[in-house]
Order: sequence, then structure tokens, then C-alpha cells
Amino acid sequence: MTHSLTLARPLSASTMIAAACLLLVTLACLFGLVWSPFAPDAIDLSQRLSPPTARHWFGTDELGRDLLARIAHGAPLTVAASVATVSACAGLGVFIGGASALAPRWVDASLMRACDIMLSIPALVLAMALAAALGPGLVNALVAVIAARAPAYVRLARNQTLALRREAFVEASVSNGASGLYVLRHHIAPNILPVMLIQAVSDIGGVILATAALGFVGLGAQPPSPEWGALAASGRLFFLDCWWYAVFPGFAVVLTTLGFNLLGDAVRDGLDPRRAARP
Amino acid sequence: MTPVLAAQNLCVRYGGVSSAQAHTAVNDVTIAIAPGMAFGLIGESGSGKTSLARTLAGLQAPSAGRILFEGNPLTPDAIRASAFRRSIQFVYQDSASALNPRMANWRCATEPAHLIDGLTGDARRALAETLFRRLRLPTAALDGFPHALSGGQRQRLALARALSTSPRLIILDEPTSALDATIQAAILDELLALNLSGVGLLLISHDVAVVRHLCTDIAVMKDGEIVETGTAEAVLAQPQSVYAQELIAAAMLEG
Repeated sequence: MTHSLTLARPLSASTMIAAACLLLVTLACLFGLVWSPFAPDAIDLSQRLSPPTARHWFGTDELGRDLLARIAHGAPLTVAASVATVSACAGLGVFIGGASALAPRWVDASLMRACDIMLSIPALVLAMALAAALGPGLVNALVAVIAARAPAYVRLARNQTLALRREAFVEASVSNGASGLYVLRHHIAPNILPVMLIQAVSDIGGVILATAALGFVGLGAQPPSPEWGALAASGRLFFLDCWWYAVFPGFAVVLTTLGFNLLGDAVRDGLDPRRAARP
Repeated sequence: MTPVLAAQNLCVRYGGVSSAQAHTAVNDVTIAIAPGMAFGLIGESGSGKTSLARTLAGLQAPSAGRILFEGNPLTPDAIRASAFRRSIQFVYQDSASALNPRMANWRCATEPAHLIDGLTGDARRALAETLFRRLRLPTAALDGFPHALSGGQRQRLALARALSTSPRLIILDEPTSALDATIQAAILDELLALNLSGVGLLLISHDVAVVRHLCTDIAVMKDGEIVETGTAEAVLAQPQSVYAQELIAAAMLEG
């Protein structure tokens, strides 16, 4: 019997909306990747800045490249970069936060004050400053986003570990001779990983937004990369005459962000063992 | 016969560097628990019962006095030795927090046997099945998780865990106070059956009726001290101390 992902209740409205958003983006991207006759970097100057037509559904850019194809090819890049970013944040969080909770008090206090300092600066501002210092580029932008967001994960993992350490089942296990590693693996990790997973899934949307924002201000992925923020940034230059150029990449960001945020809520509901039905 | 566990002039104090700030939870307690005995420790909340029980179980260190395990002083090294861990098991009051919500029931029931005796694989699974049958837990719940069990079943699971190493003595801290009356009676019957099969019990309770049902020997605790001790019949029929008289009279009125 699995307790975690069985459907105890009908899907909630927000789960349906999440599924609809992500499905829509996925379908559009699949179409652009698989069936579209256009390559993302195929220049056709006769079709430059064409509005949406039967031939170019999302219109074209200033070099006549098909926008649907570019957005579709940017999707795996954008989503993979975000998933990698939140995974790195969660990994750092469990490692540093767990160690902090189990370490001597002065180590814990130093790490937590460092987190306080980083959390006191708005994440996007911090990420921009770091990205500007590191230099433009998608990898540098992701490193900056990770550095700006990881403290929240560290704090979460540390607090969860501290609370769990006081539980009677941990004491019972230790009194029966369990090692620190055994406790971490069998008692702490299984109980904090769902929380970290919920945080990570809920954060994917925010990371997509942050990466796109960095791309938009020129600190993230650089043209001709079809990363969504970079696409929207290029489209901004033509916004008054060619609305489609900035709007469709923007839509992709908004729908995907919304979808992942609501998915985070659904994962939280699904993973809470106390909410699952009794057999 | 050498007592399984004995306390000599045991004291437990909490907090405060100066003596004015310190709180004495257990004061100069001397008791001995013979093999197979069902020993009841009664007293009101805050009388130091739980502190005494936890100290006897090696979960916290005494401030003064000593504990003897099978006649030998219980040093920190002796607490960590598998002989002590195997022989003395502890059952918590709140089974919800005593069971890891993300550990499968069968693993939970056999965790001490796994940790102390290195039991793994099929042997561990077989032990879980035996324990489930012995404590009348549905074997369908072997692969389930504690949240899907009822309160009574969870306490049975906690008992199964304590039994997994075939201990000589189980220390139970208010094992039934979180359960309703009929479930409580069923758990007490289970404990009685365990005791008849030779497992020693140290039962901590504020409930005279629970102790009367189960125990052959009783100690009454008040403000950290044992005010009366003896066989259950003697203490319950003719309590000598004023406090024990009040406690038992109050229980009679309720019962």
C-alpha cells in the first residue's frame, strides 16, 4: 500500500488549473518541437515581424524566426534550468540545514545569522547583484538565483530537523543504539524530504520568473538563446508595433509559473500522510 | 533473586546552577523490581513518576544515587551495552509521537531487534508477523503506516516494538491514559497476558484502577518521594500514609 500519492479525494480546483496550465504549455511546446516545420534559428527575412498567421501561429521576430518554435525550444531549457536550480537549493538546504541543526551551537548560530543577512535582502535584488558581479550568462544567472534562494531552504531544513530531533521516536531509536547516520536516514530525511519537495515544487515557478527577469534585464541567457526571459527582452524593443513578440514568451512564463505554483499546493496535499484516508 | 532493575537513593534534579533554582523531581528513591514482577508506580501529575521511569530506562542521567541492572551499577557504558538495551524497553505515553509517521509498521515494530541484534530481511519480517499476531494487530497493516491505525492499535504497535527484543522488563509511562475506556481495558488485558508469560512490567500511572487491575506490587509517589510501598493487596486494602489513603479513597469514589 502506498500512502503518499493515492487519490483520497477528488482533485481540487487548483490542481485542475495547474494541470490545465502545464498541459497547455506542454502541448504548445510539443507542437513547436515535433510538428512545426520551422527551426528555432531559421532566419527568413521575407517574414520578419509577421503577426500571428496560419503559417506562424505566434508570429515571427525581427529576423523572421518562428516564435512558436523559439518558445518551444526555450521550454526544455527554461524548465530544466529551474528544476536544476531548486534541486540544488533543496540539496544545499538539507545538507547545510541538517548539519547546522546537529552541529555545536556556535556553528548553528553563525550559519543562521548568515542566512538572516541573506534573507534580509530581497532575493531578486541579491540575484541581480550577484549575476552582475559574475557576468551575464545563463549559468551565472542560475548560480546567482541559487545563492539568493538557498538560505530559505537551509532555514527550513534546519528547523524541521530541530523539531524532529525532539520527537519520542528519535529518542526511542537512539536509546536502542541507532547511530547518527541511521537517525538521519530513517527518521529525519523521510520526514523532511516531503517538506523540501513541496518547497522545491512551489519554488519552480518563482525560479522561472527570476531567471526570466535576469534574462530580461540582460544578465541571464544571451541572444540568440531562446530562453524565455531573453525572448521577452528582445520583444520589448518592438512592443508598441509588434505586441505578439513580447506577449507570447510572457504568456509562457506566466502559465508555467502559475502551473508549478498550484502544483506545489497539490503535492503538499498529496504528501501529507495525515490527510490521507484510512484503509 | 537479583532484581532486574533497582534504584538506590536515586535523585533527579532539573535546571538551575544554584540549589535555589533547581527543581528536585525525584528525591532519594529506593526500589527494586524482581524478574517477572508487575510493579505499579502511582501518584498524581508532577509527582516525579515519569522522571523516575525515564531515569530507570537510561533515557536520562540521575543527579545522585545509582541504578543497578541485574546487580551491577548502570554506568553510561552499561546503558549503551546491548545487554541492557535488549532487556529493558520503554513504552511512551503518546504513541502518535513515539512512532515515526514515515516508517512502515513492520519496520517500526522490529526496529530495536534490527538495531540491537542486527536482524534484517526475512527474519525481521517474520518477527514482525509474529509480533503482530501476538498483539492481535491486523497483518494487513504490516506494510501500512501508523497514521492509519487507531489509537489502541498504535499503542499495540508500540508494545510490539518494545517486545521485539524479548525484554525482561518493559517500562510503560501512562500507556493507556490517551485511550478511551474500552480500548484501555483491552490494552491492560494484553499487558496482563504479557506479564503472565514472564515479561516484567513497570507501570507508571495516575490511575489507581489501572494499577489494581495489573500490578502485584505498588509504590505510591508524592513530590518526588516514595511515600508507601508494598504488595498491591496490602497497599490498596490498608494504606498507611495519609496521601495514599486519600488517593485510594478518591479512586474508590470514582469506581
